[in-house]
Amino acid sequence: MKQFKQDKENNKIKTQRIAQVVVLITAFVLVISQIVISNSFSTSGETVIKLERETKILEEENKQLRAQISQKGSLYYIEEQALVRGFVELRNIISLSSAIPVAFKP
Amino acid sequence: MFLAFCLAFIAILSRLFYWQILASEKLAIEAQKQYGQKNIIFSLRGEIKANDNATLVTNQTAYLVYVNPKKIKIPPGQLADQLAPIFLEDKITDQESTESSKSNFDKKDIMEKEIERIKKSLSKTNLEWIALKHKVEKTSLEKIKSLGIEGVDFEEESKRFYPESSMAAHLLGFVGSDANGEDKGYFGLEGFYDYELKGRSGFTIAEKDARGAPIILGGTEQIEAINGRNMILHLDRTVQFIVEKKLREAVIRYGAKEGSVAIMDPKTGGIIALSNFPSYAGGNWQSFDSGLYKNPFIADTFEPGSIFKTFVMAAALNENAVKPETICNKCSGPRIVNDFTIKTWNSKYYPGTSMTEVLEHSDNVGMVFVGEKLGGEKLISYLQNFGFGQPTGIDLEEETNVPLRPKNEWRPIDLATVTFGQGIAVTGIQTLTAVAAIANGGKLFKPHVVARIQNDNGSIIEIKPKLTRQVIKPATSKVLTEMMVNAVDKGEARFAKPKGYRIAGKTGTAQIPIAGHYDPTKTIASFIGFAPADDPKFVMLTILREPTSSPWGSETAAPLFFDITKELFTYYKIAPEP
Repeated sequence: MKQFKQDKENNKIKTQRIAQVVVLITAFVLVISQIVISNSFSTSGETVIKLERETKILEEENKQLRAQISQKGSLYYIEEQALVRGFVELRNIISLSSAIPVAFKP
Repeated sequence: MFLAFCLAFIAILSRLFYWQILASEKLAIEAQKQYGQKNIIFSLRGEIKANDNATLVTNQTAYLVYVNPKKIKIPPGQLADQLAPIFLEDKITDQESTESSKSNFDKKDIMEKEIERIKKSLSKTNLEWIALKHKVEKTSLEKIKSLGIEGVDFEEESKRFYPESSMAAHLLGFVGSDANGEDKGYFGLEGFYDYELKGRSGFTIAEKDARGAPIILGGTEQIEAINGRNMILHLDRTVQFIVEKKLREAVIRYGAKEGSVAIMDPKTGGIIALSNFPSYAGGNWQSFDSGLYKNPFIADTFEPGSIFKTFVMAAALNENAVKPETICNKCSGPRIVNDFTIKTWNSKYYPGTSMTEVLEHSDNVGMVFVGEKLGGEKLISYLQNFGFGQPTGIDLEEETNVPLRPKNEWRPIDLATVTFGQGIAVTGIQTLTAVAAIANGGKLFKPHVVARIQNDNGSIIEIKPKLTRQVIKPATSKVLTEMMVNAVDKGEARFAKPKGYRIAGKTGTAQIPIAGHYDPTKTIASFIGFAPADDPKFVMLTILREPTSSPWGSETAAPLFFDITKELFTYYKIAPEP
């Protein structure tokens, strides 16, 4: 009976030690991971800034191009260009109100 | 030794308590300032587009130029001399593109004022930061940078850009600043829909390292900006372009002081075009006389004159008080009402004239007969139902209205003169809306400029046409349309009418009241009508103020109406009848 109690106590201590080792290893792995990750991300801020700048430049270019397209599509610009290219306003427009039959049935 | 140790321990503990408990909030904020980076995300103001999705107003990047007076090493006068020409550069370019303001422009005077303004700003030497100029364009900014002046810096902001230049300026309004220097819309759509257009700015707070770069694993907080809503209008920019061109030509040709034209879709109340001349440029509104900002078509009232006869006739026909063939038995000469003599415009009288001919001849005496047949109470009631004396509710900021006089204040002479459009003040938009009801089987629609609103997420809100009321019966509308077609075909303006089309219309020549009497030399010429008469595609009102070539609407406003109509028939592919 005494032996049985002793074995039980030993097993309990053994389990606790294993748990302690697992916790320690886990903590160690996590600490190392954090160091590695933090280290690898430490210079990424620069990259983020660079990407943000590039995004901003592209957005700005996009905005400018949109404005340019709108201006080139404006009626005032089209009229100006049409006049430069020799287009004139048509005054005598003929309306064909109905289709003329090609042939009548006999 | 032990006591000293205890005292040191208590001192450290107290200090820690102070830092951690008492001052924690304040220190957290201080720390946040050091490692936290707050960036404002500005919302973009919504765009305004024509019915074909072509952009009428969009945004362009501009810059705020500011100085730190303590860092400036050159005299304020020298700095002002260098910056003023650059600041004015955009302004001058915009100004020169606008014919109407060319004559008033004095570059030298403006330059001196600008130099003075900059000097005055720079005199506030106790400040750390002085804004010198908002909305500076990129090209100008590059020039400022190339000067290499120490203490001059800039930050980004947004500016309104108008691809169609000054097109529809009165309709669009412009963006200025409020008391806090924030963008704010004034007049027209910018004023009316300011809240919807401006959106809401957001911000991000991110932790940064010693070099100012963001720490990826640090905490971030972000409130997204919500861009303003886009407005898609009923406005057809081709029609607007035609109207602006023809109106400008007409004002010059007829020597008028100013002019207005508006076109509406009678089936929806949508405003297809609206223009006034002279006008201004929304991108450079500061350089124009502030009297030009409000839209005279909706903000000014006028005595309508003979175009008003259509509404009184509509009321009388609807009440069966008269029929087109009813004979006027009091039209053989002038009428005397309350000791006032009412004459026709040309002193010609038509005994036994029919109601159709009353409109055809624009017969004032005949209209007094119509008013008497209808009765004062019903006449006033119909005027109210047509929308006179109350705002139309159009979605533009500066609409005005003159209420009708109270019912008990209408004297017999007032009831008589109102039948031919005298003694009543109306706006252009009220008149246009009322005629649209005649064109649309008697249905009065609320006028509307915006057709759809597009949210930041792309979803669309349709603004459905709003029927205000049925003013006259569809049958009455048909009968009156025929009478108006006859008035065009046989009236004074028939020479200008395009051949092969049925157009319903009515001329108007109103005198201008000044100091209790009418100015004998000045008139407001107008023409109101719709086409094609049987299935109207558009309703149009043309107004010319104080034309000098001829005072008559039939010789000025009517040719302008028909000139625009010819172009619209081609644009809408409406062929003449064989």
